[in-house]
Amino acid sequence: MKKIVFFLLACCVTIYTYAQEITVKGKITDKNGDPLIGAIVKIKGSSGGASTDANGQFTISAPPNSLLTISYIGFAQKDVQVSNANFNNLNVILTEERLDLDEVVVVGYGTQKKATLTGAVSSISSEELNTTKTSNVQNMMTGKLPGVRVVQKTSEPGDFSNEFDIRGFGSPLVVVDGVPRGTLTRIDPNEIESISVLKDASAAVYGVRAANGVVLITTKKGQSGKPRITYSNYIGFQKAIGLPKPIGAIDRYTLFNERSMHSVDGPTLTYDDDDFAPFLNGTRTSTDWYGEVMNSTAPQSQHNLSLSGASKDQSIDYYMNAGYASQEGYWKSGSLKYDRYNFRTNVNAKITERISASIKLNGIVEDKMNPIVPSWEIFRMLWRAQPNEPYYANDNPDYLYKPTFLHPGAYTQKELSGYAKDKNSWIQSQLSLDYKVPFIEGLLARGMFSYDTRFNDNLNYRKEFDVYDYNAASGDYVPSSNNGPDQVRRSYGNTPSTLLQLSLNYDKTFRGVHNVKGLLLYERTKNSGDNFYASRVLGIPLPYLFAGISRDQVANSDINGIFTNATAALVGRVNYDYKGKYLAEFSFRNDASSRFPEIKREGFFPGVSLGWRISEEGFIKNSPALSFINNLKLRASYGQVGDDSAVAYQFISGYDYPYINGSNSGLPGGHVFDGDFINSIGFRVTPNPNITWYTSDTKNIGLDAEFWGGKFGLTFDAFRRSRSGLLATRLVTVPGIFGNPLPQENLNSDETNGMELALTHRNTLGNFGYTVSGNVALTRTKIIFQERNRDGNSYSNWRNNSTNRYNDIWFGYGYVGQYQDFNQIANYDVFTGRATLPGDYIYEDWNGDGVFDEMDIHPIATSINANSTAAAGADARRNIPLMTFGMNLGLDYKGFDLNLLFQGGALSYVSYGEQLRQPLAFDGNALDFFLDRWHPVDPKADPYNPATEWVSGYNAYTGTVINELAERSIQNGAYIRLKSAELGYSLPKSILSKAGVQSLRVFANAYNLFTITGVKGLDPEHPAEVYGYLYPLSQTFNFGASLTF
Amino acid sequence: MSTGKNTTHTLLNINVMNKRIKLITFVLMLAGLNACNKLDIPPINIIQDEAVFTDAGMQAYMASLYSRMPIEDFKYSGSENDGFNTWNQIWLPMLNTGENANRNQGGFLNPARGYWDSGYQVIRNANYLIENLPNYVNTLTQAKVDRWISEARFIRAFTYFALAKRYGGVPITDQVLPYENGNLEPLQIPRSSEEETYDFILSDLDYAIANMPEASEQSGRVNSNVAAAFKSRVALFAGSKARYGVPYVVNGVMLTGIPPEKANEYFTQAFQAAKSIEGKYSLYKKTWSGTDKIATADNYANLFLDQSSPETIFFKAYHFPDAVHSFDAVYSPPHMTSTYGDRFNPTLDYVELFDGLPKNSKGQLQTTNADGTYIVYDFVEQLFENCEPRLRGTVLLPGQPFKGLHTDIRRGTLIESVDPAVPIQKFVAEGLTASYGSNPFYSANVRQAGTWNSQTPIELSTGQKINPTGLDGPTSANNATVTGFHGRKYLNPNLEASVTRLHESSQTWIEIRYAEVLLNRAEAALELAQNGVSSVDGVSMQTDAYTCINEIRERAGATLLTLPEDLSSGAPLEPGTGVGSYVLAPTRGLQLVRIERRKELAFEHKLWWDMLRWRTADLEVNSRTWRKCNPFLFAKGAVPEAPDYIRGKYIFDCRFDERNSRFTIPTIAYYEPIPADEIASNPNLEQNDQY
Repeated sequence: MKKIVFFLLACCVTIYTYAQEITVKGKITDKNGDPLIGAIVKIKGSSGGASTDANGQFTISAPPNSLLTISYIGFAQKDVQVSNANFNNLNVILTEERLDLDEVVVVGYGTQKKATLTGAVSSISSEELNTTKTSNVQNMMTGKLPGVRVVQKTSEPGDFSNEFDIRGFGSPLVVVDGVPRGTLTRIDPNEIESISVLKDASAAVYGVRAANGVVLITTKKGQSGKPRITYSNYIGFQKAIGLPKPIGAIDRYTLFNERSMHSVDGPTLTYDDDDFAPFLNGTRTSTDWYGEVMNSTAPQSQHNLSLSGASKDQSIDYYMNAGYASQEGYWKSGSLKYDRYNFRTNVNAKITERISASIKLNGIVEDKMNPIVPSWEIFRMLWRAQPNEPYYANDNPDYLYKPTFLHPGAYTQKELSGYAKDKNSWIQSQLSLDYKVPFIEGLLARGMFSYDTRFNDNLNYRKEFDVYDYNAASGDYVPSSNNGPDQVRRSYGNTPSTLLQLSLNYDKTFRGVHNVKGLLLYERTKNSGDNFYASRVLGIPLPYLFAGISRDQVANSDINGIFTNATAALVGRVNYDYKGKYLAEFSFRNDASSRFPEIKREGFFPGVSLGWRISEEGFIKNSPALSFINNLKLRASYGQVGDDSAVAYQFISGYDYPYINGSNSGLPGGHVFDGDFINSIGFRVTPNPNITWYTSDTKNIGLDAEFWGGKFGLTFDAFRRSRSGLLATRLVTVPGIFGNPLPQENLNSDETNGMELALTHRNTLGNFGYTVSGNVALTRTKIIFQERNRDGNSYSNWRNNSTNRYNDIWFGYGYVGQYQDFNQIANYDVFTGRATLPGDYIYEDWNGDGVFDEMDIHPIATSINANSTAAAGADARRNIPLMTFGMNLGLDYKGFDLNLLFQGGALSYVSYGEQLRQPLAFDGNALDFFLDRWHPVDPKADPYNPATEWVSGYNAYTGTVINELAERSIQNGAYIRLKSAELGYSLPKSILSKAGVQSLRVFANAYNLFTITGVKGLDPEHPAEVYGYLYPLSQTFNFGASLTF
Repeated sequence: MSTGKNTTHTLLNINVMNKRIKLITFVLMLAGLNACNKLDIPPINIIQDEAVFTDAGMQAYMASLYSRMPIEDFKYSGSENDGFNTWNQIWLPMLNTGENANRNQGGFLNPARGYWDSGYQVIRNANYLIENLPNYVNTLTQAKVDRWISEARFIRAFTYFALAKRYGGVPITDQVLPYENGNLEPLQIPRSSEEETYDFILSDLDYAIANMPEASEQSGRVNSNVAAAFKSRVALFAGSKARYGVPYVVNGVMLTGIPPEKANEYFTQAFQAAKSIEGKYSLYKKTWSGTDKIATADNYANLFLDQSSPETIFFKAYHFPDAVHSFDAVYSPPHMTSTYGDRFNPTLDYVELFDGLPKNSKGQLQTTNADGTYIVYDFVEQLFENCEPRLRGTVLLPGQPFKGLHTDIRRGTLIESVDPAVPIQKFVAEGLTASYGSNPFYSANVRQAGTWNSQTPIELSTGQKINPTGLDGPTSANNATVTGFHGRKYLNPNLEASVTRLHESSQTWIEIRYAEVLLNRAEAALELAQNGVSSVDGVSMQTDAYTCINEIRERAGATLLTLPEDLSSGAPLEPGTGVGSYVLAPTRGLQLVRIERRKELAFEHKLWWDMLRWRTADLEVNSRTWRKCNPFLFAKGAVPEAPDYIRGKYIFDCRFDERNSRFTIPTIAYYEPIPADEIASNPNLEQNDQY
């Protein structure tokens, strides 16, 4: 019955439309058959149109045989001929196409179409960001943005200390939703809509804080259409990479004996057979300190619930998110754990035709549980702990053994030694109002106010514990107390900051060809900090102040954390383009900072950039042969920015009271008179009434190209940043008898040059789509002037004068090889000394004077820490690559998607100290790679006897410590690694829709899956600082799903 | 989830809302502009002269100066911070002098730490006070102003002396130096001669002596007697430099060294300053006994710990928890501390200086019979039973009770099958560096351990167990003591081992005590007596030196000199010919004075400087290997009485340090190099000889 009625109706309609128009029905889907909601269907040559509904279906009245144009953002536009055969069932499959041109990019105080962008701005979207899964957004950016350099120092839960910079410039300004905020590391990655990086004069609108570039984070807003509820999660585990293992007791005794036999004046054996015997015959076993203290893996997880939607009339849209991330450490005791909660609400409301408002509220709460000592100290303990010493005295679990150094087990257990709990929370709020000014079309007035604050709430609970010497002869357990007395320290601080922005925005096109945009903005910020702490020695070991006794109780504030500073700025910008072909942007910022004396307070920072879209010129546009060129743009920019991070109040004389740099175990902050401790004053540095920010000139030229409908894209940039007025202390040129430290002055200058290249290729072959993109960046800084003394002689000048020299020159000794036998030692043409043995390192007599000495030092590597004041030592050795690269490979096929990110660095060198440089440092233990060494076949043989037979190895005989400045101990830190790999499967919508589910994707993800590097035994990113003891990097494996209703 | 209804509702109120929002925006704008209109934000913790030059402010100012005085105390070490204010006392000049040894240093330790800038900072801050305080007479009083200025001049003198000890003549400034518009000229002051430097220091001290009262206003601050006592030290140095120094003249300025003809003048000043405080202080003798050696030893040890000692002249106090040191934790014997415990090991060479020990003709400890076999002792303390009490008060000897425990010092144990009655030949001949392992008897019969706290015990036939090695070493791996002794001076005997921890000690450091003043006086007097000045102010120099030395010896429980003439001007003992003969001196009398100084002032950071001013360091410590004394226990008949005390028969083997560490002090070390930066920034600054 129904069918008949339908048939009749259809006939009627057909007849009717034959006369005028017919009703065309159809469905628009992507290549997977998933409906495209909101696709636009237009009749060519007419104004009529329709859009698809939630099922991708549309209905439109059109003349018969008309041509329909179907478009959808992110997909190639398609024309379809309506015919008798298809008018009722017009199913169209659109193919994805991403033309970068169409993208809108967030720039300083606004957005801009990528096509008309004239600055060096890179950006990534939420999807690109989330292919890597870690708890730190910085690590998720690694390798994805050309010129953004990320070196992960540690995988310690809750430790976000990365080397993160743009173009090697230094720590960038991070702006979240228009407000400078330091929480890039803690943002829930799911909340991020896009990240833009301003690398050149495009940052000039941020003036005095933008010398190192700007990272702009934009958070999500509500999506139009049906409300979406998305739950996503992943659960995974971490596994340490590049973690060297300490050796066992027999090996340690052997190395120790080697070291004492390594004495030309009297070789002795430190440990005799009696000492070896119990380990050889099994009455005692080596202590596996790692095994006692650490798990081989540690869990991590993340959960998110988000809501996104808009009112039907689009006047209100909302995005809400709640996230929870958790990461545990390797310590068996569970004393290292990180939990984070993220909450966000972003609501935009169009209140009237002219007024709209936006409110963004963000809350982050993090909880970090730490052992009472930092993790790096525990690794130091673990590497130093002697395997011949037991974990428990007399293996009795009631008595921890008292090791020669410190007991790593005790320090990882919070029940024994206490813990440190850091609870930080951030509240970030902002309200903005937009007002479309009447009578002037295109003028928008905006006011924005934000109030952010961070609360630090820390508890340090130290517990005294005993370790024991077991006197096997008497059977006594002799206690030694460690870590005492029981003490609790609470500290609390907050750092509120406010920001007010008032702006006028203008955007209008005149006569269809002159596109003009303007911005005038006034900004005020105020930042302050306050804190206090209290500590008490405990009567009863409870982690609360009330459990304390009056002896040694302290209540105080950290003066460094009490401050107020303010800035005021006026920003202006004009963008002009002619037909999108000739592009220009001018900007300025007038900044004033309370950090500087009144006369030096204000600064003016201009920026200009120009672009020429060659592809818009007729000779390309109209040439069929060049029709493959979608975009070809040349651009250049110049701008001035500054940095106001000088130590505050250096223009004021007087005294600090109290002297805050005292330490009770070093120079105390006072003296004892009449038995009382009297606080001392601090003598201030000589004031510098002229102190101000340094300025930085940035120049950039770039080329953007896109060919074959987005199949191939290229971006190239070359830049130069010249800084002058860098702060330096004239310490070295003023004689010490002046008797007072000097203030910082704006003295030094440098220049950073570099370039970036990014290539993309996207294609779809049937159901199979893939993306390949790669980027490489190079940066290097040259010192133009460095305040220093004149040298006494030309050698010293050559060796030490860094003016006009790269700042990363690593001076050291050349390395020739290892002596193979005594014959070679005896006949070597450089004096070797009577203690030399086969296997010893031969350093290069670089100047050929027949002696190996300090004069043979010459440049051998790069990547010394540019900011280091030491020529050697852990602070100087930083494996920060001058070249970084990344390659991303994305594949999708019938619901499966695979994303591989290769990432690496080159031109980086590293040298490790202390226990990573030599075995048995501090008479502790040795790491496994030191066993590969030269040593006599007979461990008791005199190594200085020429008849002694040797076994060769990578390292010299124990006791010969490699010169830390020798090429041999400086390792090339270049590496390439599969940074992240993600395999996902999206279930077909046809199945899901029956269950009311919009989408469901399951995935497996890995981080740091494999690494190719020449660095021995350690991860190439593992830093040499803190003696190389930092908590290791990890490999992680995650499994998760994302479900949208 | 739809908000459509709300929106509609809102739209109905467009007009009202519109007005409100305009108003709100306007108010916000105004509020914003006004609220943040201040960029002049004053600092929170910076104060000015007006607040500082007051009674309370001066306490803070002087606390800064006193705390920065270059006092070589518990926090003096060669590791960092110009050598001052570090907790970790590993590398000390006393390792070069043979007072002390430890496993961390196996050769000459260059103590040059470039102390310069921080010294001149103290000098500037003292100069600022001296220049500006007179303007605040009204807020303070004339008397207070005078007193503070005198103290500042004392501190300035003390600081210049620290520089002069290290560099010889240094640039002298007694005013706040200007640095304006990058003009470096006023700062490029050349070095004064060493003589001028000492004269400047002495003039500051004379001012302080004349203008300060005799009593300190607060304990811990200086007074005129402190200044006089310190002057005796400074003048003695100047006199020694004049007599023994090697002049080094550049551009007519004697940068180091003082013309020899000045020697007697300085020695006279030293004598007079020392003599001037006679009767104001006295040697500590609270529990001294003429008969009880243990009481006399404890008396000596207590003088360093008793806050009310009449011997203390100037001190630096500590205060837990604001200002602490770690001397007990780092320097106690290993089983008497919770950490470290291997740093304070007096050498046998040092121990042999003391009276009351069996010694051979070389002056060395005699522990073997004439036939080269070991003398067997019935218990471990027996060898040192009759020693001079001061030794026991300075050093922890094997088996000595301390902290309620006993020092447990034993290199190894002879297995039970070895009968003490059967003579044992010395393991390694005297003067050899060979290891014990090279002796087959030793290898077969002695049990030893590489670490003191992880030993495999020997089971006796009685079923009892004993450790092969003592809990305080010496071990075969040279852990714990490397000499067979531990130090006692300044250690707190009441601090339980388990709570002997880092950063918790607060003993007072005695920078100047009366014994030193007596020794300064004796040395100055004898220098004068032997160089043509037989009396000063009517006092016989020879007799005065004799009296002072005997006063020290009496308190020490040592053998007294019998006659003033014992301090003879005859030739000294040649090295290797008697007790203390390695201590070099031009005459026998001065040799005795110098030995006395070593015994009395060891571990007080004084002897290194003494050896420099006597100019004997390079000759005395020339490819020198310090000696040690290793006790060995016979397992046969041994009875454990406590975990750290085993009663049994012992032999003692005296030998060279088993690390074979050789020490040589080069002549270049008599003065430190002026820091290179200073030479570079001041073209008028000349470098020291040999650098």
